[in-house]
Amino acid sequence: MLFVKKIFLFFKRESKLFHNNIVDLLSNIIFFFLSIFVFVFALGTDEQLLRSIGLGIIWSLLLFSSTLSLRKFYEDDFNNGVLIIFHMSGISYEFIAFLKIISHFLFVQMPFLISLPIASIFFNLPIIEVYNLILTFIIGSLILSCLGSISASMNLLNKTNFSIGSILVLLFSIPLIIFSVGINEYENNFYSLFNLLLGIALIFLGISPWSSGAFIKLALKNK
Amino acid sequence: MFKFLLNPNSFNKFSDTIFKPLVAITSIILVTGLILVYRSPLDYQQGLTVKIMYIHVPSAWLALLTYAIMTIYSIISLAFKIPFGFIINKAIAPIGTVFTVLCLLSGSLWGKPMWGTWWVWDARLTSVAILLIIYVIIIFLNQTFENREVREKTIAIFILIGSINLPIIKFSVDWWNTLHQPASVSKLSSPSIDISMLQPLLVMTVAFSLVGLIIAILRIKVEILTRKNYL
Amino acid sequence: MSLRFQRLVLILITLAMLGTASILILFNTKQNIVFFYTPSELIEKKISINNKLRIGGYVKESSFKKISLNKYQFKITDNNNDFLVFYEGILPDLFREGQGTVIEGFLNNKNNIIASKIYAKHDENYMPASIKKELEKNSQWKKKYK
Repeated sequence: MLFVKKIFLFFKRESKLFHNNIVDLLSNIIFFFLSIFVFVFALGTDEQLLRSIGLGIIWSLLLFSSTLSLRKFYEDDFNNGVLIIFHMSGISYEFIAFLKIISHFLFVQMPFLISLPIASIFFNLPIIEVYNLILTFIIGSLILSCLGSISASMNLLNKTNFSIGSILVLLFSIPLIIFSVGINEYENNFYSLFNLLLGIALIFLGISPWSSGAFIKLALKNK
Repeated sequence: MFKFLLNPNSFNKFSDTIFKPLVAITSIILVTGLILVYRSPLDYQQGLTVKIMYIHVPSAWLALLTYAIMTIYSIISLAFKIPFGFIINKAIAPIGTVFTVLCLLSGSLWGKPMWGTWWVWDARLTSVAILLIIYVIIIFLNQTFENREVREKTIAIFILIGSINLPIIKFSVDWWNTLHQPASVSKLSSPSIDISMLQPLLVMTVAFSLVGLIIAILRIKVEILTRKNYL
Repeated sequence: MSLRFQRLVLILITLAMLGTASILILFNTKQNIVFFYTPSELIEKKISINNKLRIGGYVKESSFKKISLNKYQFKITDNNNDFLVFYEGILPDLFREGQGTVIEGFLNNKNNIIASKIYAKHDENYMPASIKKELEKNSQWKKKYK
């Protein structure tokens, strides 16, 4: 029971942080919309063209905007010692990473859900594609959170080359992009692609707590 | 017997003894291979362009082989805490990169006259391009972390994760409809490549791998020396 | 919960996740990413007119016609179904009758394709030109695609 309470307190703190940093998160979404505008201005306003490439653009911009806030994933908690406090209160680093991923998923990625229908209006996407986009984003953003956790915890150890974390996120999100954009092209294969996406999400969700936990431990040792 | 595969000192000793004969054998095989390629017959469809294959296929195989070696050494060195694997990972990653670049370049030179395009986004070509990106990231990661232990372990884990790409490259032509032709030599039934073309191909493969081996030995020795200075 | 017990629980969760994931991935035997469709698949899928598509098959024997300079017409087949293809542009070296090919374009009407790009597909057979002549002389050379 005590453990459940600890988890509850963890999420309470996260939601408080969310409320305090809401401007920060909103600026991510504004970055997302502005980059859509930049894309549209660069490509011209040909409706047919925008409709055909809209989904790919939305997905790749989502990817970029969610890598923007990755620096904050562990760094604040690492620097002000909250990670150690959590550990001392009896939560293992792996479990902290797991909880962090869930909270990043809930508080950073989910606000994008509101922006997706609006973004798809700009591209005149058909309604079935919007539906698929939202469905794939719910799973895909979980994958992004896991990747973000890995790369952010890696960056704790790394004081020279920060962009390598983002490069890794982009590299590992290739299958995510292939399957989540491809789900619209091959309608007959909807369920098989959806299952593949779900499988990838579960794999990353399984692996990332362990690797992030290991990185955090090493980083605390070398602090 | 195989201690030189796991221990830097015995590797140094072993490589010193075999290095000169190795260079001699390599140059002989390389020259023979080039002569064989020069004398090999023209293809019934491709004509002269088939000779690009004698560079393309060995470099592709060796790009995969290099990565496979790195994967095996990562497993060994992570599981049994043998640091020699990390030395090898650092030393041979650029060699694999060069082979991948060679493979992509020669393939694209072949593709323009034969397929009619430099590049298509089919599964085989894309997965090899991803292999190149992975190699480049491994080289970058070598410059990234300050802490050596962390760096080596991270690279090893990254190599392990990236090894998912190997079966994808190998079987992409069987799993999906690709523009790239399926395997000719490593088929379960008899190879669908004529013996007069298979011979130079195999000799060139041996030559390429020996050249790669020589560079690898030099790089590993340099790596061992720099590490001894640090320790 | 002690740290050790937590770790045990997390290991179990991870294993369960990986197991489910592998089941989800391995039991997806359908082909997901295809570079091209074959003519039969195309008919089966009923792809609508004016949609961009890639179609792969063999150039049907004695169907290739040169309409004018750089304008060609031929049939693409997979031995069951075939489509008539129109193309304007430069053909790759390997392109010839009986040879595998991949075509990028769109359906003009029910069985006409306007190609915008033609790739020649090379099969995995490599053979010296002289041997092929020998084989043809002994009528060993199989021509599967007519």
